[in-house]
Formats: sequence, structure tokens, C-alpha cells
Amino acid sequence: MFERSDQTLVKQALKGKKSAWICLVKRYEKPLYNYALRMVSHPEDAMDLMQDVFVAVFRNLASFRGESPFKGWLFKIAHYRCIEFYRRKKPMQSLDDAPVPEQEDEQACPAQFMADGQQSKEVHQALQQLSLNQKVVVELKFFQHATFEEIANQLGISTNTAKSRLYSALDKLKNYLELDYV
Amino acid sequence: MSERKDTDLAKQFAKWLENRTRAEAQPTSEQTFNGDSQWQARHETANYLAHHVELHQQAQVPHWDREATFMADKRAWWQWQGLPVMSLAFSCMAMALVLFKVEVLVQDNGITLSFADAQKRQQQITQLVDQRLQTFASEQQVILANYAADIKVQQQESNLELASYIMGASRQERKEDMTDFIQYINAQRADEQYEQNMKFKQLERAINYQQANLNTGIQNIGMQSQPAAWTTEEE
Repeated sequence: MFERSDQTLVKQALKGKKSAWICLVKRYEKPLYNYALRMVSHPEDAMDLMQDVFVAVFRNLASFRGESPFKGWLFKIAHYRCIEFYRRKKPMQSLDDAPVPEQEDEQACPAQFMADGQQSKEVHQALQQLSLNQKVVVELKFFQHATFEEIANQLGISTNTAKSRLYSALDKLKNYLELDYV
Repeated sequence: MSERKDTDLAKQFAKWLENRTRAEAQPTSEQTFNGDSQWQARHETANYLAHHVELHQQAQVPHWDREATFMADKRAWWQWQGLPVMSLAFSCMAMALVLFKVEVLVQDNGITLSFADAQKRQQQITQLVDQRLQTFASEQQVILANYAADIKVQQQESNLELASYIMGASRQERKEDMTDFIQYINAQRADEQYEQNMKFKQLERAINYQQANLNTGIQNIGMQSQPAAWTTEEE
């Protein structure tokens, strides 16, 4: 079946065609929701974040010039919204600080844990120990398969900073995952 | 030496990660980072994460109102995207107006747009004020002259009226005086006439009395020779 490109859907949505916008939302809601879920670790917060991102994307749709892929632009907005979400939730905490350990919510994402098993739960818990900046780099590198240059462009940092954040995140994850590599 | 080795390993690890991203053939960690526990650990962790991602099943999105995001375009007027651009444009226009000293003069017959400096404008204002003052002075002179002429005419009319009134009043007084005098004279003459009348009546009565006395004497004389048919009144 013929699938309209993101660019075409954006143009049609800008002209007020609701079906084009809904099509665009359906195309990216799943990766965006999962991204939000990994970042905020709670289904309801992830849902709020996803809706917030789509609202922001729609409001700024006219400023999308199509020079870069729509998906990258969408996740860039998602990243900024995620930072805002963190700052609202923890205004006194730096984005480079490791989060304060909280009571683990076993019901945070039970369906996902049941589907993926024990390994998923461990990875999820380990990711929660990372600071937001580290978590974002891990997300982009491993879940979205971005290159260091793409990560640097999306986050507005240098590639060396991106690498440094990823390596420190891997070091921290290693301690929590207790991998037997020797 | 150790730093150089670390840098090389970092480059190798970065390259390995990028190649892993591009899904190219991967050497094992032992082959790549043999002997360096830190980089080997990072390699293993990365592999573990990558393995997890491959097995990871994406969560299904709960049902939500997708159309609500489309309705979000009903924004208030101040959220219009063109507003910042319009604001910038107006700011630039205002700056240009100030820098080029643009002046807009609205008159009855139209609008004049001028690029003038302040000194010229001041001169124009001074000239305009002088012109207005001169016009005002000439107008005031004309009004004053007209006022003086009106006062003069009014004064003449008032004098004429006053003279006429005085003349009329004196004439009336003289007429009244003359009338009073004539009445007085007439009254005098009436009195004198009455007095004359009285005197004439007294004289008449005196004459009549004397005549009566005379007649009585004649009768007395006649009784002595009374006629045959004569009767007295007592009878």
C-alpha cells in the first residue's frame, strides 16, 4: 500500500487536514511513547509526555522546514520536553546528577516486565540510576541506533561530550548489572 | 605511553560502537580490547544493552485522544507565530523613523512625510510661530480699529441723543412755565372781572335803590292828588 511521506503529511496537516495529522501521530506514537516510558519510567507520565510532545510538535509544525528527517526533529522536541518534565518534577536536581533513589514502583510497568522478563527489569532498574544526560545518550545510541555525530547534533553538544557521557553511563550500568565479563 | 594506549582504545571502542550501529561484522571484546579491563567491561555492557534492545518488545500505546492534539491549534491571538516577526518589523521601522528623523505632518489637505533634522524643524516652528503671531497682531489691530470706530460713532450718537433730550426738556419746561403764567394771568383777569361784576351789581343796586327812593317820593306827592281808580297793594 502506498504510504505518504512525512513531508507530505506535514504539508497536509498544515493545510488543516486532520486525517494527515492523525496518520503522522499514529506513525510515531509507539516509538515516542516507548522513548517517554524509558525516560520517565511511569506509563501515565509517559503518556502525558507523549501528548505534550505531540501538542508542541503541532504548534511548531509550521517551523519544520524538512531539511532534516521529521523523526529526528520530533525526538529533538521530545528531548527538550523531557528535560522540562524533569525540571518540573525535580526543580532542584541538575541534569548531570544521578537521581535520588526512590521507592521502586513494582506496578510502574508490569506488562512490559512480564513480556520481557527478568533481564528487562534489571536493565530498567539500572537505567534509572543514570542521570538524565546519560540516559538520553544511552537511549539515542542503543534504542534509536544514532551515531555519535547524530547524538551530538540532536543534543547540541560535541561528539566528545556525547562519548564521555556514554562511557560514564556504561561504567555505571556495569556496576548495577553486575555483568560477568571476565 | 599509557595515555596513548587509552586513546587508541577509546577510538577503537567508538569505532566499534559506530560499526555496531551500522550492523557490520563485530570482533569479540577479547580480540579488540585484550588486556584492558575497563574497555572490555564497557564493551560487554554495550553488548548486553544491545542484546536487551534486540529482545526488547516495544510497549503498546494505551488508547488516547489523538484528535485533541490537532485541536490544539486554536491558539490565542498573542500566540500567533507571525507576531514576533511583526514585532521585529515594527521595531525596525520605528528605528528607521528615528534614525532618518522622519516626520509626518497631517494637514487638512493631506499628509506630508518629511525627512528633516531637528534644527530645520525648529526653524520651521519658529517661522510658523512668527507668522501666526504677525497674523494675530494684524487681526487684533483691525479689530481694535473697528472697535474704536464703533465707540466713536456710538459716542456721537449718545451726544446727539443727550443734546436732543436736553433741548426737548428745556423746551417743555418753558412751555409749561408759559402755560402756568397764562393760567395765572387768566385767573387774575377772572378775579378782576368778578370783582368788577360785583362792583357793577352794587352800583346797579345802588342805582335801583336810589331810583326806588325817587319813585317813592313822587308817589308821596301824588297821594295828595290820587286818581279815582287807584288801589293800594295792602288792599
